[in-house]
Amino acid sequence: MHDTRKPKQSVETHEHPHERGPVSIDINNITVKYSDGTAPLRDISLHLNAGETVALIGSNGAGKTSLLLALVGILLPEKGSIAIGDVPVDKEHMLTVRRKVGLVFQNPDDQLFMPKIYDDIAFGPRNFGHGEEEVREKVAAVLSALGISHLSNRSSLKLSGGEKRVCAIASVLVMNPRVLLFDEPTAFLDREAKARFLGILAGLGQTRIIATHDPDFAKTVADRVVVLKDGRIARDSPASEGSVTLL
Amino acid sequence: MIANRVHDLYVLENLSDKDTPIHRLHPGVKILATFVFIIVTVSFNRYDVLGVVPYFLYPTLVMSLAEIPYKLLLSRFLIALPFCAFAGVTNLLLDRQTAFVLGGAAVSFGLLSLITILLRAYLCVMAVFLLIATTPFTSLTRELRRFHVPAVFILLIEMIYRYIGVLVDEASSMSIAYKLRSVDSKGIAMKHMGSFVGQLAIRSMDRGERIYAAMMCRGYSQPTHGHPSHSGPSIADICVCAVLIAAFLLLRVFPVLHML
Amino acid sequence: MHMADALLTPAVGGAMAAVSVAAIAYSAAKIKKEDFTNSKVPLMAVSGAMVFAAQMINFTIPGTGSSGHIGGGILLAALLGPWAGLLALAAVLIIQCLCFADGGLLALGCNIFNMGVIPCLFIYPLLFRPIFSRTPSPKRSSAASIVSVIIALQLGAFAVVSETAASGIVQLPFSAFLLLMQPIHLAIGIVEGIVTAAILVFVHNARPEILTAAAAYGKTQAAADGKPRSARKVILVFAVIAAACGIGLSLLASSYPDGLEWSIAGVTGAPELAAQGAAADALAAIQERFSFMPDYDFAAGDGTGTSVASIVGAILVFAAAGGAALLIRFAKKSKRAKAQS
Repeated sequence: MHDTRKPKQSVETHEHPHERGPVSIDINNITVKYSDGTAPLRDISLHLNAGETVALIGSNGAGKTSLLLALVGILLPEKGSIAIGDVPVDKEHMLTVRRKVGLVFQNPDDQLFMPKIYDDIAFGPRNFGHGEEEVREKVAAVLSALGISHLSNRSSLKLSGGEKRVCAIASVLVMNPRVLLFDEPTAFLDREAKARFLGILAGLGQTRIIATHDPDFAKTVADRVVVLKDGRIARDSPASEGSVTLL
Repeated sequence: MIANRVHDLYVLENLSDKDTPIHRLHPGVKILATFVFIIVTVSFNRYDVLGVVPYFLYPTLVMSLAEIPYKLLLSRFLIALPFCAFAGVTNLLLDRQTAFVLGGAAVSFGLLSLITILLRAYLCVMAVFLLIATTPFTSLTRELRRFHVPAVFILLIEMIYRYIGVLVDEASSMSIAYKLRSVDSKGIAMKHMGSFVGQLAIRSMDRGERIYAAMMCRGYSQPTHGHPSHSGPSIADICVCAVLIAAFLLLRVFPVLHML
Repeated sequence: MHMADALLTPAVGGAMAAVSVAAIAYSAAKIKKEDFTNSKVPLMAVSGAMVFAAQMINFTIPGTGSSGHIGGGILLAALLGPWAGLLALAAVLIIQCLCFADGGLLALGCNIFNMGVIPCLFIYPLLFRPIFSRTPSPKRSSAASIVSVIIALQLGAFAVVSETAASGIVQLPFSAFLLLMQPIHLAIGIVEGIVTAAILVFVHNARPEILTAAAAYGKTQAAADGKPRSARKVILVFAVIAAACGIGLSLLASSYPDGLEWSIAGVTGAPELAAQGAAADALAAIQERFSFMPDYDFAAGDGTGTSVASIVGAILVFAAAGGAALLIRFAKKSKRAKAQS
C-alpha cells in the first residue's frame, strides 16, 4: 500500500481557489429508513440560504443526528434528495460532499481517534491527498486560528471536555468546509467552555446547522429554529419569534 | 483502582516528550538497538552471570542521560517480575550441585541460574521501558512502517492505544457505580460479569460505528497515514546505532569479566 | 500467562516470532480482501481496547474468595471473526508488552501465538464456529465459548511449557512443569469460559447479528474463493508449521545449548581466526571460560581464584555504572542551575 495514495475520486474533488464562500443546502422531501424498517426521518424538506445558521432542536430520538448524517451521506435517503450548493449528496459525489461539509460529532472521543491531536487534525487533509508539508501548514494554521497550538502534541486523553471540543472542531475546519454541522456542541461543556464555543462560532462564515436540545442556546446562535419531532419537522420559525419549546 | 492502571499505561509515554540526547536519537536507531540488546543478553547460557553483568551499563547510562526517574522504572519492573522469580526459584531448588566455593560458602548452579534469570529479566524489561519512555508512541508506530509493517496494523495499534484510555475510563466508572450499590466491594460478582462486559462490548461496537462515520466524514477510504513521522536517520544517528550494536556484540564475543 | 524474555533463548523467541508474524500477515491479507475492511478497523480498535479494559476488571469467584479476570481471545474472535480478532488481540499484546513489560519484546511472538493464534485461528474455526453456527442460539453460544476457552487455555499453557522447555533456561522438568500448569489453567479456563459465555449470551440476546456475522465471516470468504475447505487447510498448514518449529527447536536446543553463541561463531568464523592470529591465546582462554561455566565437572579449587577477580570486576561494573549515572545527573543539575542564574 502506498503512503501517499490519493483517494480514487481525486479528480472530482478539484476545487477552484475562488470557490471559498458558504453554500446553500437543499433538503427535498427525504425519508431515511434503517435496515430494520424503522424510519428516523420522514418527509423532511428544508432549505438553508448560503451563510444562514439554523438550530435543529428536538428531544432524544427526534432524528437530529440522523438528519446530520444524511447531510454528509453516511445515511442515504430512501426517497427524496439532498444538495449541498449544486452538488447532490449521492454515492457518485461522495468525496466532494465530504470535502464541502464538515460534521462535528456529539462526542469528541468519537472524532479524535489518534494518540496525538496533531494526527487527528491532519487526518482529513492526508485523506484528501495533500503532501506532508502542506498538511503541516494547514494544521498549524487552524491550530493558531483557534488558539490551541499548545495542544498539538498532546494526547486527547489529557484534555478537558472544552479543549476536546475545540480540537474536534479544528479537525473539521482544517478541511475548509463550506457547510458546518454540529451535533449537540454544548454537551459536556461548562459555562466557560460554552462561551468559548460561542466565540468560535461567531468567527465562522459557513452555512451552519446546529443540533441541540437546549432551546435557549438555539435562540442565541441561530437565525432560524427548526423543531424536529418523531422524524418530522414540527415547526420552522425565525429565532426571534416567540418562545421555542421542545413541543 | 482501574483508573490507576490507565495512569500506569501512559505514564511512561509522558516522559517521552523531554529533550535529551537520548530522546533526540532517531526512533529507528532505538528500536534496533533495543532488539539487539535483548537478543544478546538472553543469548548467554543460564549460568553465565559474569557475561551478563557488563550490560548493566546500558540501561543505567541511558536512564540518567534521558533523565528518567529510576524509581518509577524499578517499581514497574517489580510488577513484571513474579513469573520469572518463580521460575528462577525452582532452579535454585532443583539444581543444588556446587559450582564453586566462594570464601568458604558453596555457590550452587541453581543460585547462579536464579541470579542470571533475574539479571536477564531486569535488563530486558528496562530496555523496553527505556524505549517507550524516550520515544513518543506514534514515532515508534510510524517507524514500523519502515520495517514494512502493514499500514492497517499500525493504524489499529494507534487506535487501540488511544481508546484504551476511553474504554478503561468507562469501565472504571461502571465498576465504581456497581460497587457503590453492592455490599461486597471486592469486585464484580462473577454472575454479573456477563451483562457488565456485555454492555461494554455492545457500546464499544456502537462506538466503533460512530468513529467510522466520523472518519468517513473526513474522507477516509483506506489507511493512508503510514508516513514515518521522522525523516530518515542522520549520519550521527547511524553512527550511534553502529557503536551501540558493535558494543553489545563485542561484549558477547569477548566477555570481559571472564578474562580477569 | 505471559511468557517472559528472561526464560527464552533467541532461537525459540525468534522462531515463535516468525510463526506469529506469518499468522498476522496472513490475517491482514485475509481481511484486506473483504469489502468492509476499512469499516472494520475502528470496530477492531474499540473492541481491542474493550478487551484490554475488561481484563482489568477483577470479578469475584463464588465460594473461593479469590478473583479472576478474562483473557479475551475467544471473545474477540466471536465478536470480530477469527482474522480481525487475531489482529486486534496482537495489537493489544504489543501495547501491553511496550507499556507494562508484560512478557517482553523477544517473547512477543510466543505470547501472540499462545494467546492469539491458538484461540483465534485454531480453536475458533475448529470448535467455536461448528458448535455455535449450525443453529445459533444463546445455549449454543455458551456451550461453544466454555468448551473453546477451556481448550484454548489448555493449549496455551502447553505452549508456554513447551517454549520454556525448548529454551532450557528453567530446569523444572517438562513433565513436572506440565503437571503444574495444566490443572491451574483448567480451573482458570472453566471460570473464564463461564464468564465469556455469559458475555456472549448477553451480546447474542441484544444483538444476535454481531455473533452470526462474525461466524459467517471466514466462511463466506472461503465460499467466494471456491475453496470451501480453505480455512481448515490453512489451519492444518499452521499446525504443521508450529509442530515442525517445536520439534526443530527442541533438536536445536539439545544440540546447541546456546543458539546465538553458535551463530556468532559461524558469522565471525571465530575458530579459524583463533588458529591464525595473535589473538589465538586470548580466544582459547575465552573458550575455556565458556566451557568452564556450563559444564558441571570442574574442581572447586581451580575456579576460586578467577571467580574472585571476576566478581571484583562485576562489582566495578556496577560501581562504574552508578558513578557515571551520578556524574551525569550532577552535570545536568549544575548546567540547569547555571542556566537559571
